[in-house]
Amino acid sequence: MRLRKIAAAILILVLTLALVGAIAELPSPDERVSQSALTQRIIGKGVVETGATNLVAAVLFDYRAFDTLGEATVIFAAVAGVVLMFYHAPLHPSAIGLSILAKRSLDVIGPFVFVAGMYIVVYGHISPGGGFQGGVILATLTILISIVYGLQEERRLLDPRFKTALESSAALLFMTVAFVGVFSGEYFLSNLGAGFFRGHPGSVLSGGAIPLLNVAIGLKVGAGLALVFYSMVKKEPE
Amino acid sequence: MGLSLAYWVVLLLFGMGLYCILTESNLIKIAVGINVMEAGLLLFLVRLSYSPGDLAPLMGPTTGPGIADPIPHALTLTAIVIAASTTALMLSLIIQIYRHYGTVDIEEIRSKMQ
Amino acid sequence: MSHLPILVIAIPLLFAFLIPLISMLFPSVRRITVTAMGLVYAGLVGMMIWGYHAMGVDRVIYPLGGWGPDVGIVLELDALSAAFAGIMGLGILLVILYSQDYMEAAESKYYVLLFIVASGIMGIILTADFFNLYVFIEMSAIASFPLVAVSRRGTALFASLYYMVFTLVSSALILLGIILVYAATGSLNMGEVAAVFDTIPELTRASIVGSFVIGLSVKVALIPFHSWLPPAHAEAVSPISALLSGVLLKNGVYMLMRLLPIFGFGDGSLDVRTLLLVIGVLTVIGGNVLAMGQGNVKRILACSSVAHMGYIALGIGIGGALGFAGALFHSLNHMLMKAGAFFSVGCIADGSFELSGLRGAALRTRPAGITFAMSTAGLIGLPPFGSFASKIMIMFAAIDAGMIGIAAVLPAGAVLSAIYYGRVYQVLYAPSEREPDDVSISPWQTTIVLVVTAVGSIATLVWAGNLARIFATIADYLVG
Repeated sequence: MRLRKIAAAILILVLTLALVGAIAELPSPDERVSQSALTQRIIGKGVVETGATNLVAAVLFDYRAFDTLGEATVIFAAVAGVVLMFYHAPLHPSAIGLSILAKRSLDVIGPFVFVAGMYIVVYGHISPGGGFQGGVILATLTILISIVYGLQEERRLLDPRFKTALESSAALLFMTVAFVGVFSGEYFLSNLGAGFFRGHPGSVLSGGAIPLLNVAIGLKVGAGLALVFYSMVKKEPE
Repeated sequence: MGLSLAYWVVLLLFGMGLYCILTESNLIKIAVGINVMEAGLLLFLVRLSYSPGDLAPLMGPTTGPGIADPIPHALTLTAIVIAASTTALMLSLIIQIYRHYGTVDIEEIRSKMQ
Repeated sequence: MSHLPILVIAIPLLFAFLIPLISMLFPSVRRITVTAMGLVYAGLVGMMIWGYHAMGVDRVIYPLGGWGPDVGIVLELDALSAAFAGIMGLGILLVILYSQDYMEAAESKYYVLLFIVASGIMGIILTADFFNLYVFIEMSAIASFPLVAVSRRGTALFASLYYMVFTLVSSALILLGIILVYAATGSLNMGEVAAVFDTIPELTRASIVGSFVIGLSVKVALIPFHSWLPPAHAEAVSPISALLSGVLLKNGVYMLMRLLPIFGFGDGSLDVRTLLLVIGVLTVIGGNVLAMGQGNVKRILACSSVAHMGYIALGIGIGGALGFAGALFHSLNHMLMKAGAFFSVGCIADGSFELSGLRGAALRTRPAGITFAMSTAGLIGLPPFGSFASKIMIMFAAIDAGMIGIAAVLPAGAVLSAIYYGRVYQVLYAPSEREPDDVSISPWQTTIVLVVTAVGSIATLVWAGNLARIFATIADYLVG
């Protein structure tokens, strides 16, 4: 064991030193360096070409929207995997929830959490945020409900079959938006070129398909992560 | 060496994570190690996009002279989501392994598998 | 042609998203639906390859979202992608057909994950963008982890986690390489990076090549990084073993063939060819020796996969058009034969694959016994089967390059594998007291799969001349 630790330490030291050399050759970010042609192009024309003022959203849902489809699928695969791992596990019988104090507090803050999540999803193309971040907030709401009200209650409110259906439908919404480009004679995942509504950059209804994709991703991530949590806290039969 | 402080932190996180994966025998700690390693890489990506004085890539009426490169931000977001998904899957595998063997120690599991 | 490159990625994804809804709303038709989906997928891949050859151009570019390679992500279909799309598409179709009767309980999730793997593999093959490549690597990998553990036996769970840890570390190394590429060139498009790769400073270049080569070696299970493969491939259910050995390992092979020419084989900074030769020799000998010590049929097949990845690494390491063509040809053969062997062994044995419990088992299920013998004889490299031709090709490449020692490794590996497969035959085909059960292989899809792999393993030798010519053209184009 000790030998293994020393060997690992030496290996990592060698690797790290090689990397120090490599990174030292790169332009240092502490000084202002000229940005690459790609970056200048996106900063210069991003708003005009995509209609989104949040350039990260423009990259994520337009220039590199295919990556986003891939990462959404990664979540989908992870959720399917987690559900598969905990298949056939019944609910924990003793999940009855917390005191009335906690329940009433959740009643008050719950709607606000929901609104905050939806706001972050819907305004993703003009302010920091987007489908992934908002979706995670929506998923925490279901986690809060299952802790405060108990898993049985959460299950009654949001059936896992409903979540599965929601997740799949949101993914299909993403694909539908993506295929609009194909059917309109443009390319897969085309945004403004496929005739999506440009709007006035900076307002909510702008950026063409970007808000739509944000909503699809938000629902999908929210439903998916809620399913992950639900599957994990179920209890295996003894 | 004239390396920016952030890069030293990147290397430290990457090395620590890898060391943890190579030497630990506790499954949870290995999962943590993988996350630490990935955190190092994500920090590297974020640091690449920024020069001192840059503004966030949100275009508005008050756009300044320097804007941070939005591409690494988008890549980071993608990589974070992937890392989170793998972590969820890894943890659920570990939970199931624990239910089977009653331990999360690799050596003990190996001896129980014999 | 126009939209086919994206359709082979998007349509299986669409299927993966639809399957939960279908199995919820119309549970009675889901099985036939899945078969139909598999056929549609394979049909699209076939149409794409046919369309590519009909067009007679070097490469087809598909700009996603209408953005060119300078700002967005483009898909690029060239001869190498077309060849691998054919190999992988066929492999995936076989796995989908064979899985029919396997997963009763968790059927919908099983097929969801299978179609995500199918889509991810096509993404890896077609994308021309470094970061998009990483996304697809992770996509196909993440979907494969739960598939390994699908039986939820303790050993399978542990094997899956072991496989996962290795794969995640290798993905992290590949991501490190991609970040360095972006930092050094400011671009993620493979063509643009290839054009400026020589101008990257020396150490950075070596780090990029190094992190990619190590990361991919883990994925291909070359020898210092092979230890995840035998448990994962042996503990998974048989169709998934075939998927991992036959199809997913070829992902790494494809990426080596795609990326090494971009990096100029690390010439000057890190000699990848010599490295691959050394590792390849180690892997061929080591994999075969490992297989000798195993008492479980699937573990023997898994260890032999390690050895076969060694042959392919040798082919790439020898370099030149002939070596590359041999490696490509061997990828096709290994897919057919290793998948065929796993499919057959899944029909022969049920549950336990320990040799001690399988005395005379192959004689009791005659059809599967025959296909098993054919596939494994092909894996040894015996003449009437295709991998004879591909091994000879790699050997000639080594002799051509004046590496007689490397050329000698191939027959040595064949002899070693003949020894352990001989032991398997002794047990599986031992005459036993029990009468043949006259078991017919139940679903028709399974019969088709077995026939296709068995016929395919001979057909690749019959058409060896044509196939070798095709692969040599591809290799010429790659090596330049």
